[in-house]
Amino acid sequence: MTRVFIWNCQLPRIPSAWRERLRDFGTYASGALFTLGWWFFIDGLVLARTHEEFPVKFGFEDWIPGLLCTLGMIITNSIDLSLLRDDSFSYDGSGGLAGKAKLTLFIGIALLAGGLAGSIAILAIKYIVPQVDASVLYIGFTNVIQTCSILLSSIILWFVHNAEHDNQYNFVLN
Amino acid sequence: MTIVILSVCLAAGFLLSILSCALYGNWWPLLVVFMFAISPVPNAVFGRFVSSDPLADVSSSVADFGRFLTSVLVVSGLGLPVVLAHSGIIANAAMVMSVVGGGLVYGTIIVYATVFRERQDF
Repeated sequence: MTRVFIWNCQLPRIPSAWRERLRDFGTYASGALFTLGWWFFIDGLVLARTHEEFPVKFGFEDWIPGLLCTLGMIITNSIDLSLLRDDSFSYDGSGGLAGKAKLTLFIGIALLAGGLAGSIAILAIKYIVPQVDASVLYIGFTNVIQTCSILLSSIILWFVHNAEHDNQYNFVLN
Repeated sequence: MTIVILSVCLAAGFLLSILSCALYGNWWPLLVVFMFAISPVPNAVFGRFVSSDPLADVSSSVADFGRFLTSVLVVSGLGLPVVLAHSGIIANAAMVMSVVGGGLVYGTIIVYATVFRERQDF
């Protein structure tokens, strides 16, 4: 199996003392972003429930994008990229470990992207097309903010945990 | 001397949190101080998995999960009063008081842990 896609990105110059702590700080930042997203969603939910005569019905379908993104984040960060790389020579086409890891990674990324797309779809269908006023439109945007920040936090966690401990990140997707 | 300052900070934090509830007759912000108070717990529990063997560079994913949970709890402590104030359940002043109080409690615990961990290091 040949490597289709090799991506090298150079880190900005940071002091070497910080680089060792990068994993810790990245994990903290990722957790903070994840929680921030969910609190934005809860803010929209509480506003919608306490608002008198709220024009948009806030149902279970608004929960789905956030749940999908969270599930995708768990799946994506449960596998490590070295699993994709090591096994590729003994991959005989009958479903080796690398193939299964690749499929799992695909499902996780698809869940993340699907959650983001779903939140944008809900924003468009329930809030933009009926042309609600600005204070109600904010509640539609909380859904998109939620999925975006979960996606970002997932990316940060992935970057930080799969980084080689030298000057640059190497991502090899084959 | 450090202990006196830390305990005064802790007491002031609790006082601010309780005042933020009592002055407005609304006891929702008391959840915030609980959230800040239990936020060092994940690092304290999961941190033992790394400190036992400093040469092992693997299996720190448990500690990473602890860091993630800590961050979740701290941001929840900030987010809860902001959401409550935004939807008009508590007053804005109560939000500020409970955030400052919870932050004082959390900061006290963190500073205490760092100061007295170095002293026990041998």
